[in-house]
Order: sequence, then structure tokens, then C-alpha cells
Amino acid sequence: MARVLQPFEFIEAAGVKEAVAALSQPGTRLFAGGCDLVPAIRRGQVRYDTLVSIMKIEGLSEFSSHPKVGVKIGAQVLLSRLVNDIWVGKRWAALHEAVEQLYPPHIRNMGTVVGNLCAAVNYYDVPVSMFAHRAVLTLSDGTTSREVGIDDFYTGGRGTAVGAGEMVTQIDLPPPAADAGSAFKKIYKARRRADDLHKINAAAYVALDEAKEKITDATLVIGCVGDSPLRITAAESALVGQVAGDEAFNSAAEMAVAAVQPMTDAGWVEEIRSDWIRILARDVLAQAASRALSRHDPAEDAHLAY
Amino acid sequence: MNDFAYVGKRMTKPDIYGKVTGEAKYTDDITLPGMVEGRILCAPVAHAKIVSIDTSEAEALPGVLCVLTHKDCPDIRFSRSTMAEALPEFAFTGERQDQFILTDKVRYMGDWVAAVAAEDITTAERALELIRVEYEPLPPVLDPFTALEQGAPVVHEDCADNIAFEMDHPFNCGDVEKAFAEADAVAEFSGVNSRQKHLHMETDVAIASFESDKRLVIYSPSQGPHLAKKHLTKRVFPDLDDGDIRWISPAIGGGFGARLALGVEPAAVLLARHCNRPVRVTTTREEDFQGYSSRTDMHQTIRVAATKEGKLLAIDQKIVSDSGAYLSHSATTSTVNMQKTLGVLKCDNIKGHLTVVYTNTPVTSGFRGYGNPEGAFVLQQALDRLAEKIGMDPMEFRLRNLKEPGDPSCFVPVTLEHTKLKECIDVGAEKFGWKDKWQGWDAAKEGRYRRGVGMSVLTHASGAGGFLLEHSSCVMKVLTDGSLNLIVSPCEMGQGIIGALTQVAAEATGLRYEQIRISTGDTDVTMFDIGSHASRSMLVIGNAVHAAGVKIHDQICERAVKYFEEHQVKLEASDIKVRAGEITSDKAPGVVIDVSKVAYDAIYDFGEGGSQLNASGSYLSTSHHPNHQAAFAEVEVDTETGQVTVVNYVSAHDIGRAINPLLVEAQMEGSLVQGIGFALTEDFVIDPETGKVLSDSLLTYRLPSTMDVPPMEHLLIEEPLEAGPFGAKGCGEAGLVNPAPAIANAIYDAVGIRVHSLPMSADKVLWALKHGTEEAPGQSRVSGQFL
Amino acid sequence: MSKRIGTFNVNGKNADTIVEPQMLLVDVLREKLDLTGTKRACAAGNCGACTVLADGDPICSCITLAVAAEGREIETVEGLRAADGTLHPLQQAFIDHCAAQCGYCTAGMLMTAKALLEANPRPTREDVKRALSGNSCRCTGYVKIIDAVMDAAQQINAAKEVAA
Ligand SMILES: Cc1cc2nc3c(=O)[nH]c(=O)nc-3n(C[C@H](O)[C@H](O)[C@H](O)COP(=O)(O)OP(=O)(O)OC[C@H]3O[C@@H](n4cnc5c(N)ncnc54)[C@H](O)[C@@H]3O)c2cc1C
Ligand code: FES
Ligand code: FES
Repeated sequence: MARVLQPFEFIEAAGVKEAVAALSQPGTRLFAGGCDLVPAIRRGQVRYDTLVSIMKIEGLSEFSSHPKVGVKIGAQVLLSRLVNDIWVGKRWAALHEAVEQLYPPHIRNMGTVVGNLCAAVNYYDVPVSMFAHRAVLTLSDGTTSREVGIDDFYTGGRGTAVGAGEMVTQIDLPPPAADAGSAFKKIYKARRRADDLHKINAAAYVALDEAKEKITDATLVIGCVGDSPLRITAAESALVGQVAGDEAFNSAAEMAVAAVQPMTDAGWVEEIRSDWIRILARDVLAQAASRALSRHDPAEDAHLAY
Repeated sequence: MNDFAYVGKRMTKPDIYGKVTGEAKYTDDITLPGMVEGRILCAPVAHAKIVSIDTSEAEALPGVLCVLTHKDCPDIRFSRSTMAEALPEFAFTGERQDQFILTDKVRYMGDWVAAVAAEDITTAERALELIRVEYEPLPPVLDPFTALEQGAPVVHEDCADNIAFEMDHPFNCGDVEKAFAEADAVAEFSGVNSRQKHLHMETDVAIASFESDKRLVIYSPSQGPHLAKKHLTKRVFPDLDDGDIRWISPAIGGGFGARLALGVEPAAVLLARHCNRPVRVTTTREEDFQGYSSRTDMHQTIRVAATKEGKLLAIDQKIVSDSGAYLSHSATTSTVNMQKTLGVLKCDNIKGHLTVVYTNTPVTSGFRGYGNPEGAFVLQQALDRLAEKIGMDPMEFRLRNLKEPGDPSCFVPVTLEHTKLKECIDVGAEKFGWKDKWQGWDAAKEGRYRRGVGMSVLTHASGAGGFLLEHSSCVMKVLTDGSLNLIVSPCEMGQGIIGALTQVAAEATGLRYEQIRISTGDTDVTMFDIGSHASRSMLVIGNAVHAAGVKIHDQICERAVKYFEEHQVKLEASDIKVRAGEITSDKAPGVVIDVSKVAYDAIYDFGEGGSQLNASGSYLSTSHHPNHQAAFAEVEVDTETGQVTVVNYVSAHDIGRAINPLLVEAQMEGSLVQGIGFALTEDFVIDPETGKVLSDSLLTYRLPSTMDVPPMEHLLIEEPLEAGPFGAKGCGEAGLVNPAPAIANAIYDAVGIRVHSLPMSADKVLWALKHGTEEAPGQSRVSGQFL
Repeated sequence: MSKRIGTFNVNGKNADTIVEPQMLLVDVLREKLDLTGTKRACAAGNCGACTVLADGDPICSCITLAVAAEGREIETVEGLRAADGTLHPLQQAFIDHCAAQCGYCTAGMLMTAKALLEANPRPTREDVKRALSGNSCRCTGYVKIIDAVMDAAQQINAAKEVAA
């Protein structure tokens, strides 16, 4: 644990091609805002010979949002760009809430959205919301690009689908259904064992039929409980066709609890964790559904955050 | 009478200017010519023999000046606590001198194994990586109760039973068992506090420099540089003497007790000696977390007994404290816990017993409140349980057992001469609306979010007169413009003492507040003083300033007589008064002489009267002059998540007189929020398997933020204390005592559960809600009660 | 890019200094440019003590590489005062309300508050709390800090109205 960083090289790539080419050298890593990399290097968790900054590459700063088209987030877009975006606030509420509650707020002015996903840290909030919104990432080697759904992006441990000689250039969020809503929530706890986590987060997306009664589509995601966010697929399929209400949400919440593997040998820690997963799952579903009903502005629910 | 120019006014403080402009210099902001960087290698295991250390690679690195290990240290053990130097020889047996600068054996994860000095910090840190240490792991003992068992791993070879300190409360009295047998109601509460981190924002740092005349100059944020200097010469570097060291405390980035222990200073001195260069030793936040200062966790059981009319008959307290790997302040804080806990209310039968145990965990230390918050958390809940048993309003129960002047104080050989605790309770309860909000022991609450109220009372010291070396001295000189240089010893850690002393000086001398400049923090300049702690500065140092100030005032009056003569008024010095820079007399209406005239003429007198106006003042305190508080908290508990939110807090303070209510409020607000962190979120978690600190960053150790600040009110009950400067008592520490117990009692009122270990975090509250208090996940190893 | 001369725009002035890629902005400000008003307390982006403004936005200088700050307009606490030495209304309000105790968090608080008031000149108390939620203070309990920021907002607005 150091106060300063040991020397490394720093390259400001001018294009995607140059950036990924530099990566072929061992000990090289892509560098965006550095929120993740700099503290990790200082703490001695990782060390690189060369960092390749992507922040000067042309064409990666695009950001746009439209309720019918979706959201596009270039690799250089900072988290802060999302906070005041009206459409993200209204139609991608889970993402809005994850970023709005990101603590401390300064980080939003420094970290990129893409960097947050690529860091593959299991307690981050933004990835959980991205699962709810079914984000699609564009990976490019500078010549060709391919799309990877967020479900396939995390490959275990801190690994991602980004291959050697590739980088993420963009994230796309598809437009939500007409009568759909989403929500994100988190709770902090203390770490009681080395293998225990200090936080739980959850996000949900719920789409309703025209009568705004029955669920036509749902996503339920729990974070902090494995290497990457966990989709509760059993609950998602069970929810479809049901009336959006307490009964459906409670049973989905039970499925969420059942889907999560125990993490520690301390029974009471597990029990509390399960309780919180249950409450979070139920509450994000209920809130997402209520937004689907009213399509209302999540800022009005700020007081409901834990 | 209450016609003060400055005392009692809400005024900002002089040292704040440098803090808002960035000009204030903290230790880390100082660069000396030729200064090099020192860093320390911390052990990665909790308990191990050091088989070998190979420093050759590190030494060979260009830019490295020296790499030191245990064999380079003076062969003498010392304690980080400097309090030994403030206690009489007989009293300080508790302070074991038990560690080396760089250790001979690893006793906790983070123990100091080696130190490096290099031309720059990057090289110093690279050198740390190149030191090869071979450890032979030993089984660690991470829990005080395991440490007490037969055959447990031994932390210190010269302490086979791991008991670092043990004693009965020196003021045990009455017949506790008889009282319990005869009582109408008996209650018990067990609990343990967490190792709250001081979290001073400035991480530990020190600069040591041997000047060309061989004198050692130390820059470090010490709360008591005179004491630290004495300790360093007496116990760490015995070849140095008091006069060989000049210790400068620059601006201090927070103390809260941590700076009352030696930090990296000994390592800085050792390195500076070896490389003949000024050395700055720095640390990181992670090292601070795994390192050597936090509150001591005290496992306690308190039994209390009362009559059905609500007379408190007996208190019996047992404490097992986990000092961590070295003793530091743990024995003294535990002792103070007993004093304050057993002494806050009137009770004729008291018994206390204390055991302080070594474990292979980070070292604990003294923290604001110094044992009192730890004890209050348990006692105030035991009292509530007792009140519940006899069906009495908990406020009423406390009111029936208040001490009065003439009773023994919490420091028993000294009688209590002044208490306004009753007024605190009355005024606080009125403001809070206790009578309406407290709905009885069986009030039923419903719904997901439930509210409840609770209260707590405390007594705390203003210094420890009669026990510690409670004297202080200061020097004053007046310049030709009527301004004053005041040379005085408090350490300004942000608590506002410089501001308050400026007010006392201005009031006592009659000079202008804006023209008073304080010099402090340099042991070459200031007089001996044991530092700023125990809420002593206002009372002890304030009285010394007052004493000197009055002398200056009188000198001005004497010299002013002749100026009145110029106005054809013949006066005695006693007819004259000086106030806010103006000399007047009731007997000479309309005549106003500026102090600068007198001050100027005093120096520029080429005749026989020439002498700068100057005075010194000293004060010796013989009592600890307790201050008191009563606090009322209202909380809201989310019964589904277990989260607790403080929604209102009212506290009333018996402080004699507030020299500056703004500063007092600032202290109380700060300590309340620290107290809320202590109560609810600040969780210092050590991995029970490895001894590694799991909460080693501000991400995992949750400090209260702006979002956690409840509406609060701090009421000041002012009735001057005769012995205090203008009637003031101390106030800084006490604010941290009541929050945890008041919140705990409020949680009980809201949802009927008690969490026995701090913090009362959401997971524990939820567990207790589901399983009841009697089935909580842990069990008190002191009493068998559930935690 | 290894050791070279970098140009930093700090408090409206360009300053040249030797930088290496691994240097943190906080160290360049403090050690190279002698701007020691900016403090480091956690070095991990958690506490806000090291907050400076980059193109007007609060960032943590403790986890920012200095090379990444070149070409941006950096403001530190030393730049708050007007050219004639007049204190910024926030500084004055911190003094009046006694909103700094040990002072170690103060520079960061002031800078974050400055960015807030520029973006939101009439904040509610809740807005101030939210904006400062990433700035830890161990001493004050935040009450006086929040009071001071509310007060400074009023002072600034009043001064603007007079000017208009
Ligand atoms: C103090 C602190 C608090 C935080 N709190 C939260 C929180 O509450 N919630 C939350 O969700 N997050 C939180 N974060 C995480 C923060 O949002 C991320 O660290 C940040 O967004 C990462 O982005 P960056 O641009 O700084 O990435 P960098 O640190 O530059 O990079 C992160 C990783 O992504 C890789 N990478 C970056 N860009 C690309 C790319 N285009 N293609 C492929 N790989 C790439 C890098 O190689 C690196 O491994 C916190 C971080 C800090 C430091
Ligand atoms: S020092 Fe930078 S955020 Fe704490
Ligand atoms: S004033 Fe000390 S940390 Fe804020």
C-alpha cells in the first residue's frame, strides 16, 4: 500500500486501432477516467508497464438518448453526462438511479460509463442497472466490430468478453416498451468475513400490457452476490403473464433469494443477506411497475431511496 | 455584571482564516531543505516470528539512504501513550512499556517491521517492496476471551496470561451483593463497543531533523508536544534530554485523542539519525486503518439494582478490554470508563472490575470521550431496563438519582461542587417534548417505519486535576499598538481553543480581540503543559491566561493614572478599567484613553519607567470540575431492512459558561455526528480468521456524511463555575458520550429490541427484530448475555 | 510519454513543471506547484479532501493522473480569492459560521460548494447536502458547513442583484 504510483508509460492513443495495437505488449492496459485503475495501482493490487489512454480518440464521445430510439453511450462519456439527461431520467430510471446514487458524486465527473462496466467489479451499481436495461456493448478492434449483450459480457472472476486486441467503443440501450418502467436500489452492510460483501444492489425492468395490468416482460437483477450481476431468470419468466402486484413480486423475490448462492459460513450473515435480497427484489419490481403505470419521473421518488 | 466585551459572544476564530485560504501549514505541507522521505514496512500477518530480514536489495537501490530494522533500534521498550509522563510514578503502573520502534516479533497485521529513508517517496516505496522478510507464522489470538484461556497463544513473551492490566475500581464502596439481594428490581445489560477509528483526515506524519548543533527538531501533529517530547526522551531515546528536542506542532488535521499517542515520530527520528538528513515519514489511509489507533473495544456487563421508588441502590461493572497488540491507552481509557460509568449517578454501592487483554489485533488507543462513551452505551441501557422493571419513566428514574453538590464526584476523592444536570434534563426534555413523545414502556407501535425516543445523561471531566499534572502557564507581552502576543500551550486541532483563549485574553486584559495573536505549538516557545485532551484546555489553560491577563490589565491601569491626570482627574489605579482597548473610569466620564498610548509609552520611555507591558500566568487545577449533559434522541426504524435513522436530537449542556457559544455548538455538532457514526454505521471489522482489517477504507468503513445529519439542538445551561475562567467548564469531549445510548434506548422504544454491540447497524437490528434479543448471533463472553 | 515538461493551467495561470506519467495531480499541485492548500486524506476518491475543479467540475486530485489534467482549467482553493485578496463569499461564510475546525476537509468543501453554486445558485438545504455528500468532515458534523454554503449563496445572489 503506497502513497504514490511506481513509474509506468502513458500513451494517448489517437485511434481505436492504435489503442488496441498497443495492448499487444504485455503489461499494457486501457485507461479511461482512471477511477478504477489509479487506486488499484496505488494499493498494489495491479501493476502495468504502460497505460493506453482512450480519452483522446476521435469519435468515442457520443452520447444521445431518445425514448423511441434508445441510448448511445460512447467510451469516453462520463457518468455525469447521464445524471441530468431528461430521457434517461424518465425512461431508463434504473440507470438514472444507479448513477444518481453513485457515491461519492465526484466520481461521476471522472469515471466513464464504459469504464465502470469494463472494470468488472462485482459491487458496482451501473452494471446492475445495465442488465435491467439489456444493454448491448460494441467491441471493436479498430477495423471490425461486434456486439455483445450485457448478459454475455462478464465471463467470471473479473473477466469480460473483451478479447485481446479489442476495446469497448459504445454501449447501446434499447428503447423500453411503451408501458414499461425500471428501478434500482441498494443497501449497505458491514463486511463480517473476508468473503462477505458490504453491499447489495438490485434493479428491475417491468413492461405491462396495454391494459396496464399484466406483465409482458420483466428483468430482475441482483448485484454484489457473485462475480457479476445475477439475472433471476426463473423469476423473470414466472412474472410474465401475471398481474403486476404484491403477490407476483413477493414470489419473484423468493425466487431471487433461492437463486443466490451462500457466500459465507456465518449463518446469520446469510440470513440477513437473504432478507435484504428479498426486500430489494420486491421493492425494485414494485417501483418499476408503478413507474410503468404512471411513467413517472424517478426524481420524485428520491425519498424512497434507502 | 454580565457586561463582557467578548466573553459569551458568538465570534469566529482567528485560526480559521488560514484554513479557508489554504495557507495554514500542516506537517505534510512543510518541506525542509534536504528533506528525504521515510516509509515503514508493515507486517502482512497477524502473529509471526521474524526469521530473517534481507535488506541488501533495498539498500542497493539508487536513492535509498538507509533501511532499518529491529536491530537498529534502541533496545528499550516504550508505550505509544505519552500519558505516563503526566501521571505520578505510583499511578502509572498501568501503562506498560511494551513495544519497540521496529518490532522484534510481529504481533498484529500492520506491525512495523522495517523503515526506509530515500531521496524521494517513489524510491522509498520501491525499496519497501525489495525488503525480503521471512516470517514464521504463529497461531494468532484475535479475541480477548480466547486470549484469556489457558494455553492461548502468547502475544508478549513477558506476559504469559495475556493480561496486560487488571484492577478493581479504586473507589469500590458499600456492599454491592447485599444491595442486590435487598433490591426490589435488578437489571443487567451487556454490550461491547466497536473500535471506532479516529479518522482524523490528516493521516499520521512527522518530520525529524537534526540541526547542525545536534539539536533535534520534530514537526508533527501532536496534541501534547511537551508530553510527547518528555516521553520520547525518557523512554524511546534515553540519550536525548528534554532540552535536546524542539517539538513543533503545526496546524493539526484532527486529533480526537489519536495525537495523544506517539505516531511515526520515533521512526522519523531513528531514520534521521541514521541518514543525517531531515526525514519526513508519511503513512497512508490504509495503514491508518490497519494501524495503531482506534477506540478500545470494551466488553462489559453492568448490573444495576433499585428500590421500587426508583432509588438506585447498586452498580456492578465488569470490563474486559481488548487492547490489541500493544497497550497504549487501553488501560487508562478502561479505567476512565469505570470512573465515569460508576460515578454519573448517586449510588452508595459500587463495584467495578477491569481486565485489559492483549490480542494479535491492531493497537487501540484513546478516543474523544476516553472510555466514557464505551461505558455509557452499556450503563444507560441497563438503567433503562431497570426503569422498565419498576415501571418508571426513564427520565424520572434518572432525575431521582442525581448527584448534588457535596456528593462525591465521579472521581471520588474529589467532591462535586457544581452540577446543573437536573436543569439539563428539564430544559432538554421540555424542548424535545419528552412528556408527549415518551408513551410508556408498553406503548404499541405499528407499521413498517416505527419511531421511538430515548435519553441518556453523562458526566465528564474538565481536565483531571488531582490526578494528572494539571498545571499550565502562559506569557503575555503588549506591543506599541496595544496588541498582545500571547504565548500559550494548547493544541489547536480544530476544536476552537485558540479562539476561546483569545476571547479570555481580550476580556481579562481589556485589549482588543482583533489585536491578540497567539503563538503556540512550539516547545521552545511555550511553557510546559500536558496538552489538549480531557476537555482540560479551557479550564486549565484558560485560567492561566486569565491570571496573566489580569496582571496586564492592572499594569495598564497603574500606568494610566498619569494620563487621567492630564485630563485633570486624579484617580487610583483601582478606579480605572480597560475594556476592548479603551481605558475609562466611571469617575472621569467622557475621558477615553486608547491602550496603545499606554503600551507605546511603556516601551518608548527613555526615563525610568521603561518596560514593555508583560506578564506570565499560571494555574494549577485541583479538581476535574465535571461538566454534564442530558440528551434526547428520536429515531425511526425501518422494520423491513433494519435501518435506523435519527430524526431529532436535543442535548443540553452544563458548561458553566460558554466563552463562545458558536464554538461550543460547533464542538457539540461535530461530536454528535461522530456519535451517530459510533452508534449506527462505523464498523471496524477484523476478519476472525486472519486478523486482517476488513474495513480498511472509507468505502467499507462508513463515516457519517452530510446525508446523515439529523435536525439537532444544543442548549447551553450557563451557571458560572467559580473555578473556571469567567465561569467556563470544558466541553469538547462529552458530546460523543450520549448519542449511542440515547439512540439505543430510542430503538428499544420504537421496536422493543436492543442490539448489544456497536454499531447498531441495520443487519444486527434486523436480526434482533426477527429473532428477539435473546437469540442474537453472539453471546457476551463476560456474562453470557446475548449480543 | 515519460519524464517531460508539462503545462498546467491552474487558477488561471499556466505553470510549467516536470511531470512523469505516474504522478498524481494532487502531488503535482502540492509538491511541484507549491499549492499545498489541496489536501490528501484517503487517496482513494472516497473523501473529497483533495477536490479541485477541472473545467468547473469537482474531481478528486488524488486519483487523477497529472498528465490527464493537462489542458484542463484547474482551480484550487488558492484561486478562490479575488485578485485584490478579497475572500470569496464562500470563504467569508465559512469564517462567519465557523465552518472549519481542523480545516483538513475545508479546501475540498469549498471547491465542491463553488461548483454547486455555479450550477445551482439558489440551492435548497437538501441540494447542498447532496452536493457535499462525497466530502467527508470528521470535525464539524456538517451543520455549520451547510449553513455557510446556504449563506454564501444568498450573499452571492444579493451581490448579483445589486450589480444588475
Ligand atoms: C471512490 C469510488 C467510489 C465509487 N462508487 C461507485 C458506486 O457507488 N457505484 C458504482 O457503480 N461505481 C462506483 N465507482 C466506480 C466508478 O464508477 C468506476 O471506477 C469508473 O466509472 C470507472 O471508469 P473509468 O473511466 O475511471 O475507468 P478506468 O479506471 O480508466 O478503467 C477501468 C477498467 O476498464 C477498462 N476499460 C476502460 N475503458 C475501456 C474500454 N473502452 N474498453 C475496454 N476496457 C476499458 C480499463 O482497462 C480498466 O480495467 C466508484 C469508484 C471510486 C473510485
Ligand atoms: S483524498 Fe482524494 S478523495 Fe480522499
Ligand atoms: S474540519 Fe476537520 S475534517 Fe472537516
